[in-house]
Amino acid sequence: MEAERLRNQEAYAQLKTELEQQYPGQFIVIAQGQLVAVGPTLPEALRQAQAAAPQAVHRLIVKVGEQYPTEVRIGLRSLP
Amino acid sequence: LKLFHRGKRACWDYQEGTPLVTVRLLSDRGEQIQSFQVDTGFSGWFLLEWASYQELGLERSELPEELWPQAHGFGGSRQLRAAYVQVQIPELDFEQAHVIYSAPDLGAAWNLVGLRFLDQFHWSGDGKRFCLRTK
Repeated sequence: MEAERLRNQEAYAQLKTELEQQYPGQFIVIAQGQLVAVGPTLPEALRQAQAAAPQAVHRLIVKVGEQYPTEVRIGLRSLP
Repeated sequence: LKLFHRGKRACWDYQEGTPLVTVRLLSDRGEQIQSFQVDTGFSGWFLLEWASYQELGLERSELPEELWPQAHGFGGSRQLRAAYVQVQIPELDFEQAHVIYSAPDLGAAWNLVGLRFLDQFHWSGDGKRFCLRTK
């Protein structure tokens, strides 16, 4: 799985700018080193991904344009 | 004429003095009913124990690593992993994709729900029950 994960990471890094221009607001899935699904919802994108790359052991999923926090606070507990 | 929309409401009993929210989590590799401790000091959506994260197959279906956040708590900071999961609360007719975090050494005591999820709703707790109401 690690090799496929790295391949997907590399594909995302290469495709990122293009994805942001072409698919804002869409869920995209990268598997086996390529873009395999674009959909308006997570279930739809996953359905497409399963059909396009059923043998994939690792996938990357992103909602294009979403602002993901780089840091989060955890209030209740000490981190292990 | 003003129409007053009260919204749908779901409530859960506190357990040992702790407010909880119970949701259904769906991935394409499984589904689970999970209870999350309400942590209004947690700025994210959900934090899930590692075993459940794996059972849902989320470690094989994650956000790109560059989008994983650093978590800061009382005891220091650490990297979390992040994935999407479909979250359902049937009582609210609620279903939406949300980001869920985990890390390999997080046990069941680490199931937390944070403000980024809660603030989509009106939320309240009275020491006995914690409730969400749709806006």
